[in-house]
Amino acid sequence: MKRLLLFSTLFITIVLTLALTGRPTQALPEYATQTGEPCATCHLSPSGGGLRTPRGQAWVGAGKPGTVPGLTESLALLGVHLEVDESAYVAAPGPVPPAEPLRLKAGQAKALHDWLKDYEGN
Amino acid sequence: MEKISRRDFIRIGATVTAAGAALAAASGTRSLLEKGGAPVVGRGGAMAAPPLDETWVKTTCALCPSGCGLVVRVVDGKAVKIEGNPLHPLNQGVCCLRGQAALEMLYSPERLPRPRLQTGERGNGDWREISWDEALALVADRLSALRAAGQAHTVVFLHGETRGQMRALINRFMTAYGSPNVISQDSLDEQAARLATFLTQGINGIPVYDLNNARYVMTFGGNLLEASRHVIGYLGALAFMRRGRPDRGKLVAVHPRLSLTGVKADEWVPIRPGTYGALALGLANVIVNSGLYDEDFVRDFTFGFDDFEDEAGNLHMGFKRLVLERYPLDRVESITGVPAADIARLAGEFATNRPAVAVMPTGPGGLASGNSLYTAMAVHALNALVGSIDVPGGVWVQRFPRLADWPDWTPDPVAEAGLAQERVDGAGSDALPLALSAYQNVADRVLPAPVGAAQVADEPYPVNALFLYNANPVYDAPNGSRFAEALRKVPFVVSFASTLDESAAHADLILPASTFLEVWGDDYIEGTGYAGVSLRRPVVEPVHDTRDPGDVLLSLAAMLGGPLADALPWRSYKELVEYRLSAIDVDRDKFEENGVWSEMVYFNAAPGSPAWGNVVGRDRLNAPKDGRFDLFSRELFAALAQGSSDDLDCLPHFDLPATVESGDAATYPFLLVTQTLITQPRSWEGILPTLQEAYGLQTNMKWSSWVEINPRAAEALGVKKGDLVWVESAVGRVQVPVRLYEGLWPNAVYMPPGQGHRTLVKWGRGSKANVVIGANPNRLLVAGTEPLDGVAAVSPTRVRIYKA
Amino acid sequence: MARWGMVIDLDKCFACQSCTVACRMENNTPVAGPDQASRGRAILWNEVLPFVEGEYPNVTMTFIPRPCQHCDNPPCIKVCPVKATYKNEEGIVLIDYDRCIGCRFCTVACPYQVRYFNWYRPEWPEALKEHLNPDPEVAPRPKGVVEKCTFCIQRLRKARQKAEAEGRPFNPTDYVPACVQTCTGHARYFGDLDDPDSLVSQLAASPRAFRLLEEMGTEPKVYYLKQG
Repeated sequence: MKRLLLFSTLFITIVLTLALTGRPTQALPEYATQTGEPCATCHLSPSGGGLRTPRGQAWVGAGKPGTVPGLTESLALLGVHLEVDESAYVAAPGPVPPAEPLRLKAGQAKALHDWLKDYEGN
Repeated sequence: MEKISRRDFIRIGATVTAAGAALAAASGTRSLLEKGGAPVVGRGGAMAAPPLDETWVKTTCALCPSGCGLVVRVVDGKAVKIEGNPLHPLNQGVCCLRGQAALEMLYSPERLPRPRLQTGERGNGDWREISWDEALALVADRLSALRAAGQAHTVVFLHGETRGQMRALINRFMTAYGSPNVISQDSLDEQAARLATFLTQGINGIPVYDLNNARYVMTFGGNLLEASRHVIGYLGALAFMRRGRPDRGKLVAVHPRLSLTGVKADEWVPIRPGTYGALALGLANVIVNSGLYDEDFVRDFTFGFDDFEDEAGNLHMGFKRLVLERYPLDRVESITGVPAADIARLAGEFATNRPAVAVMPTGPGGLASGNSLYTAMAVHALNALVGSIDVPGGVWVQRFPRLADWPDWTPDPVAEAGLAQERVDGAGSDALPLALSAYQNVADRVLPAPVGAAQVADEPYPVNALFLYNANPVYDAPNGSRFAEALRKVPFVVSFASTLDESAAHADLILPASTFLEVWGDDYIEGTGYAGVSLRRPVVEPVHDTRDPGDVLLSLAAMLGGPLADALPWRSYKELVEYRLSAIDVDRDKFEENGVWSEMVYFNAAPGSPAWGNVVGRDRLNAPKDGRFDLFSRELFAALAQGSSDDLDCLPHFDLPATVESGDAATYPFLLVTQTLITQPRSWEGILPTLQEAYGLQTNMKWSSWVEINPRAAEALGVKKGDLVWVESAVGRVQVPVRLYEGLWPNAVYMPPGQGHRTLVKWGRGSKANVVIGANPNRLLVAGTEPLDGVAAVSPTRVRIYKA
Repeated sequence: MARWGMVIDLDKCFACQSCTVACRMENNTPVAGPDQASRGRAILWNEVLPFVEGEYPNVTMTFIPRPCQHCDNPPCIKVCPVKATYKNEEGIVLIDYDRCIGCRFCTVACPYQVRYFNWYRPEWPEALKEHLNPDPEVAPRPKGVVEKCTFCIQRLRKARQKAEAEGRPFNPTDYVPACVQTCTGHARYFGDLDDPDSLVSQLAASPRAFRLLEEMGTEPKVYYLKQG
């Protein structure tokens, strides 16, 4: 009963809010209104808030100006030069060769230890 | 939530004011003097105060391995508030409670203001403060003499967490000096995760999990949201997974205790301590048996799924037969205590809600059951079964920037002779072939075996000098009192501790480290997948006459000369960092201004693409770099002396931890689980009072330790909430109050690690100085070492509980 | 004039207590220490409270981060005999420490138990005084007064001053309390409840939104969003 009451109160509140303000529900939060951009320009989330995209980060870094810099401009603002050959991340069509049979010589522990020991990891 | 009543707030709230308030009102007046001229929040809102002369300085946190970007508010040369740097891609402007409390570390009254020398017998606490010149000369003379006497290899460097270039600097210093003995605390945990990733995926690193895009996340261990390596990134990502995107992902936490991760997960799966590996293999059984695995990926990009013949025609068991034959659900249920129906359901959910990701137990205590390598491999294999390698929502590979090459140098004969010696911890020996470090072994190698016990190994040579950096083995190693004994036996012990911690108390010389807020440095950005660097710089003038250990090592290198000076030609750590970062293609001004640089974008390599080799197989030595994820580890096959005599050696499999299986259950009926809380700073041994006041959230415990007991077990024991009890293991006992907790495996008990430090400071009114705050559960842990990888095998330790 | 309010999304709150610590660092609440803390006298304006339900293995736990709810109809004000506690024109409930006589009627009247009494003059180990926030609004409170969350009123003043110095109008998004800025799960939202375009207004109207002890008619300006 209590729950019902709560929900009906909430419902009435929402209806009243809508009726009195006459605003559409899709009114944009502050920054979207200010910049004229959808939330997803700056946030990973399409509904806004939370983690930011590179453009969002650059916009914050630039002191939240009136417009959101484009992606290239954003990377420049953040001092990032990114050159990536995107084709390297795409697989060529065609079958994958079958795995080679196992033919390793055993007893390589010392060599492996030395290899990992000298590996900086980064 | 509507159920919460006003009474709940009164009961839970820390303010105990309800009774007698009206009575107390009469005495509530105060003298004008006591007001001390304190300003007030006046009528009409905020008062019109003039703006203060303040600056905001960007730097990088070092209190946990996340390494978040920070912005520090500095007024009149004092750091007064810390926020997150919005431009750091991992934390994006947020800052956790440890970062917030870092000011209490900077200005801690427990800090050692200048170098000090122990004058009396070690451990007695007779100290004399000395100058840096004197201290450095002492160390340099000792190191010179040992080197000249052909004893370079008898110098041991124990270290904990290192940031940025520091690990490379330590390694370089010790290599040029001529000692193989750089021993990392990684063997208390992380080493197993890293090695498992290497042996399966062929990448020498800790996996990064893309929770932002995952639909289903199963985390083994309770640390993900409290003490995992990239905890801040995971908190933000999980929020996004839940509310940021249209399809809400599901988080499942598998852990004997309902930790914060479990509380905040969509489902908590209680499990018998130490049996994650069996559950992972049981899940694999269902996924394989029901044909729900990613057939294309498994066929084309894994090795060892089906049984196979090697070149000589010998038949080997594949992963499929392993899980089908050996891990049927009834067996897994009896090992793990997770009902078979739940295992089947979870496996189905995991395999059909892709991208799904299985997270290895991470963080302190997550992988320390003596079967941790194969446990981590078993968990990681689930990711390959559902094709989650390097896909959005799957396992990513952390990339690192290419930095300027280290300058060439040539080792002299002394260095060569020293480096040829065996390590003192036994890492890399026949017994521990794949261990990079075995930190917990050091005490046993220094000391003769206890009466009645077999010597762990022949003592290879006496240790003549020992350095401690971010390491406090007397406190953090299992059975640390043996470390105290060991330290007393080493003729020269130098600590870089910032406070007088338990190990530093046994040092001859303390060269106090500056805090991260007072030094230059760099930090690799991890947890995002893409490469990046965050800068560390002094936000205030050093509070005390302390130095950065990086600077100290460079000074010593210059004083020692020879190969050390060639290998480390920089005058300061700042110069070293600047040199290393000079190779990054970045606008320097922007880098300085933002405090951080990163590539901002992660590219996922499609299986079989040219870039695929960077995410599967990249770091292999013996196994082929053929882009296949090893369900049967070829690297391990090659490493083992006898090769393939038993296929299980190369496959993820499960052995019950020795303590669970054969421990003395009659005497010690409970299994002790420890798991780091988010309120615990990871690289600060002193007290941070505000974290103490937020310490045990679930149990409302502040400035204290406790033992959590399942109410049913407590009833059987006849103990109630608040009772003081002894928790006793075969090696020690500690006294703590009882907290009853429903969220606990019935015969497990939980104690928070991190407490039990002695403090010389009086913290707040009515409190005493020179007391121990809480109790240290590490004192209960029975030291053991896992074969192969040298990881400490300490949990679950068997304990018994009785009233104090 | 804005009407300041906060929304806390319990689905994104991971009970990390960063808000609790950020609040202390911003607002100079003193270190209680082991003895005073054991008497329940730790002053943390923004505590996270645990509520446990159920028996093993079906245990659920709810964490409620609890700042002052800044009620529109605050019971604390009604009981204050000297009008030391009041609601300002922007809806923030404040305490005039100079007027407060320490009777603690308000600490009893507050159904959320957010008001803390200074049993003694705040103390810190000497070295730790260095990091205290120098903003005058948060100067350590004297003995015998009640204190609580102010929505970081000093930050509002500074945001206004900054806007003025930059010659632009003050925008409600210029100001957030310390807990909101630091929230690791991005679970806290802050803004003007009178502005229907603000994120807080929109979230407060969500079907997931509720307020604590709503039935008491206190009209809190802190909204919570349900988990799940």
